[in-house]
Amino acid sequence: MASAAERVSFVAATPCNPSADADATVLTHVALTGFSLAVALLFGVGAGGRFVPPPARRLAVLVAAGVSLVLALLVLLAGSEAATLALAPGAPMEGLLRIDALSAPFVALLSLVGLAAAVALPPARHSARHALLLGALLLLLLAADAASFGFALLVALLAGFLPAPGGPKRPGWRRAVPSLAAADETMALPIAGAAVAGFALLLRLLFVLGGPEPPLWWALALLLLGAAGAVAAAFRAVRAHDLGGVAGSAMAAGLGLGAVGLGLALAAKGADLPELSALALGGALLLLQAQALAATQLLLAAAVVGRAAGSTRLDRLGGVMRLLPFTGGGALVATASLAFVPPSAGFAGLWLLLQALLRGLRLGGPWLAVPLSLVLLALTLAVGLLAAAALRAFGIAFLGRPRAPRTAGAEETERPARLALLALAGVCILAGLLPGPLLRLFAPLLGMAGAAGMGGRAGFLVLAARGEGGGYAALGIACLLALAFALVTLVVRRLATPGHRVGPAWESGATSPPWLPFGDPASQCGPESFTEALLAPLAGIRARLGGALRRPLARVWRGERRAR
Amino acid sequence: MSVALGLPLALLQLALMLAVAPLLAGAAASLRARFGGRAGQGVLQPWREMVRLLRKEPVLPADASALFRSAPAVALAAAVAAAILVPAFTLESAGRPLADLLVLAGLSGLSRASLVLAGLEAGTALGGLAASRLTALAVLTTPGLLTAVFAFALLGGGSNLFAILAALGGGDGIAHVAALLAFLALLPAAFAATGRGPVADPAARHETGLLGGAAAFAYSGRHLALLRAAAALELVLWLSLLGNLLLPFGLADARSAPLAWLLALPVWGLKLAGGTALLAAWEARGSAPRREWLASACALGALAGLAAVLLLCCSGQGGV
Repeated sequence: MASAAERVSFVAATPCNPSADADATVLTHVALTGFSLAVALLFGVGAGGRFVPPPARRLAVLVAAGVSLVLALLVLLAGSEAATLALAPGAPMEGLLRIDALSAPFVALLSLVGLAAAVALPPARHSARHALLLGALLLLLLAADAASFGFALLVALLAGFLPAPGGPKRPGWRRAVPSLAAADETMALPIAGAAVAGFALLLRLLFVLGGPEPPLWWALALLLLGAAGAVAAAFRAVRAHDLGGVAGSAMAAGLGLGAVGLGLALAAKGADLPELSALALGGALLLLQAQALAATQLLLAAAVVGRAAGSTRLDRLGGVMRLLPFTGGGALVATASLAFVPPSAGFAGLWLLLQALLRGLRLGGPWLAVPLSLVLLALTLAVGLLAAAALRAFGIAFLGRPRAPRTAGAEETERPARLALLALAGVCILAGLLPGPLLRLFAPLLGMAGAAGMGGRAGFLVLAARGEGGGYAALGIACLLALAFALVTLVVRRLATPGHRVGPAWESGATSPPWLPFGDPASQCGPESFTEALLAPLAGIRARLGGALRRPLARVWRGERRAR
Repeated sequence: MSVALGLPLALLQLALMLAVAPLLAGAAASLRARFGGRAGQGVLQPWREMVRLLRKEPVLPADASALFRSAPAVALAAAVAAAILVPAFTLESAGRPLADLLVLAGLSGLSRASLVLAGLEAGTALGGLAASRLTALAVLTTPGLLTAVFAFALLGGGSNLFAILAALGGGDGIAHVAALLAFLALLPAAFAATGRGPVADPAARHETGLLGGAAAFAYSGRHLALLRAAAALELVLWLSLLGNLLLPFGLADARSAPLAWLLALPVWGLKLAGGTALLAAWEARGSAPRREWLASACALGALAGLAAVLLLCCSGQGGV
C-alpha cells in the first residue's frame, strides 16, 4: 500500500519555502482553518434544508462568505506560501483543503460575489441550494485531493445547475441546465461564481498540470473556442428580453474573452515567452474579475428592480433611474464596465488583453497569424456587441419613461440591497482606477502559472505593455476627464444663462390620448426595435457573404455535374 | 520631453482646436452649399449659433433626470480629453504618455455612449430611434477601428499614437500599403464618430440623418450648444488624426529646426482644410447611403484592417 507521501495529490505540489516568514505561515494555517469552518458551516446549513429558518441560513452565508473574503485577502496581501490542511497524519486523504497562489484570488472574488448576493437577497429567497452552492464552489477551489474535488463538483452541479422545482421547464436536453435568458437574482452566484470557479480550474489544469511545454493545439483550441463563445454569448446578450439575461450572457461572454487570454498565455508559455504569457494571463484575470463584478451588480440591480417594479422584462421597465437612483447608479457603473468605457474595470482588462494579442500576432510566424487575426476580428465583434447590449439594457430599463403602470410606482426601500450594490460599485470603480496594484496581487499566481511577473509594467499609476514608455494610465485618464468636465461646467456657468424650464417631451407633434397621462409608452424605442436596428445590418452582411460564398460553390458544383 | 515645454504646448493645442472646431464646421457647411450651387452660410455661423444658444434658457423634458442634463457635458469632456491626446502640429505634448490609440477609441466610445443614453432618456420615438442607429453603427465600425489600431500599432511598435506617428515616416512599400489599408479601415469609424456623410443633416429624419443629431432632438439652449461643440471638436479630432496618419509629416518635435516649428501650424491648417474640402465635396456630391451600403462599407473596412494586420505579420514588417 502506498504511503501518504506517495499518493498523487490532485494539485501540483509546490515546495514550501522553509525560510518563509513565520507570521505568513501562521496566517496561512489560520486561513485554512477559517476556510474549512466556512465550508463546513455552508454545507451544514445547506444539508439542514427546510429545518434551518431562512434568516439563520442568510446569516450563515453572510458569515461564511465574509470570513472567506477577509482571509483570502489577508493571504493575498501577505503573499503567503502554499499550505495544505491535512485531517491527521496517516489519514486516508493526504489533505483536505489547500490554499495557494492559484486559488487565493479566485476565493476572494467568489466570496465577494457570494457576500453581495447574500446581502442583496431578501431572507425569504435564501434557499439551502444557495448555501450548498457557495460551499461547493469554495471547496472546488480549495480542494487538496481528487476525492474532495469530486465531491465538491458533484454538489456544485446538483445545487447550482439543476432547475429549481416549480421553475420554468425548457425543452429537450436543455431541461438539465438553467436558462441564462431567464436569470434572476438567485442566479447571481451560479452564473458569476461558476464562471470564476470554472476559470480557476481551467487555469490550474492547463498551466500547472499541463507541464512546462503545453502542446500548441491546446492553445489554438482555447483561442478559437473562446472567441466563438464570446461572439455567441454577445449575440445572446443583444437579444435578451430580460435584465438578468443580459447579465448572464455578458458573464458568459466574459468567460469566452478570458479563455482567449488563457489560450494566448498558453501559446506564449509553449514558445518560452514568459513576459507575453504574463501579459495575456493578467489581461484575462482583469477582464474576468471586471465581468464577474459587473454581471453580479447587474443581476442584483435586476433583483431590486424586479421586486420594486414587478418585472425585470425590458419591455415593461423604463425610467427606473429616477425612481430607484441608488440601484440605477450601481447599474450605471456595471454598464460602464460592460461597455468597456475608460476608465472602467472592463476597459483595463480589455486593454491588457488586446496588448497581449498584439504581441502574440508575431508568435508563431504567418501560419499562426491567420487564426490569431480571425480571433482578433471575433474579439472586436464581441466587444462591440457586448457594449451595445449593456447600453441597450441600461438605456431601456433605467432611462426614458415607464412602460407599465406598475413600474411607475416603484420605490427604493431595500437598504441591504442598496448597500451591496454601492459596495460592489465601489470595488468596481477601484478596480478600474487601480489595475496595476490589482495585478501585483496576482503576481504569485502568474509565477505559479509559469509566467514572468508583471514587474515594473504593473505600476501604481501606469499599466504598461512593455517595460518602457507609454501605457494605460487609468488614474491619469480619469483625472483628465474630471478636469475636462470641470472646465466645461465652469465655462457654461460663466457664459450661459442659468436655470431651465420643464415641458413635455416633443414627439414631433404627436400627442398622447387622455387616458395615458404619462405619455404613450409604446411611442418609445423598445428592446425589440433596438435589437432589430442592431442585428439587421449584420444579417445583411451575413446574407451577402453567404451569397458570395454560395455562388462560386454552386458554379463549381454545376461544373462538376456537367463534367460527369 | 520636458513638462515646461509639453504642458504649454498641450494647452495651446487644446485652445487652438476649441477655437478652430466651430470654424471648421462652418467651413464644411459653407463649402458643401457652394459645391451644391448655393451661397450657403458664413464660416462664423456656428460660433454665432453657439453664443445664441448659450444665452437661451433650455427647456428639458418633464421626465429628464440628471443624466440627461449631464450627457452633453460628458460628451464634450470626452472630446476635450481626446483633444489633449491627439497630436495636431507637434509631437512634444504633455499628453504623450497617455495618448494610446485604444484609449482614444475608448474616449470616442464614451462620447457616443453618453449620446445614446441621452437619446433614450429623452423618452421620445426619434431619440430612441437615433440611439439605436448610433449603437448599430458603433457595433459595425468597431472591428474596422480595432483592426486598424492593431495595424498602426504593428507599424509603430506599440499603440502609443506619438510613437506611431514618429515611426510612420519610415518603412518600405509593404508598410505603406498596410498603412493605407489601415487608414481606409478607419474611415467608417470616423464617419460614425462624427456623424458626417452625404446626408449628415441634424434636421433630417431618415436613416443616416438620424446619426448627426442623434440625441439632439430633445435638447435646447446651453445643452444643445455643448452637443454642437462636441460634434465640431470630434470633427477636428478625426481630421487631425486621419491627416497625420495619412501624411505623417510637418509635426515638430524637440529636435526640429525653428523653421519646422514655424511651418508646423500652417501644415496642420492645410491638412484640416484639405480634409474639410474633401468632406464637403463628398457630402455635396454623394448620394444618401442606405443601411445595407453602410453595413457593407463597415465590413469592407474591417477586411481592410485585417488585410493590413496579416500583411504586416506575414512580411515581418514593424514589431512590438
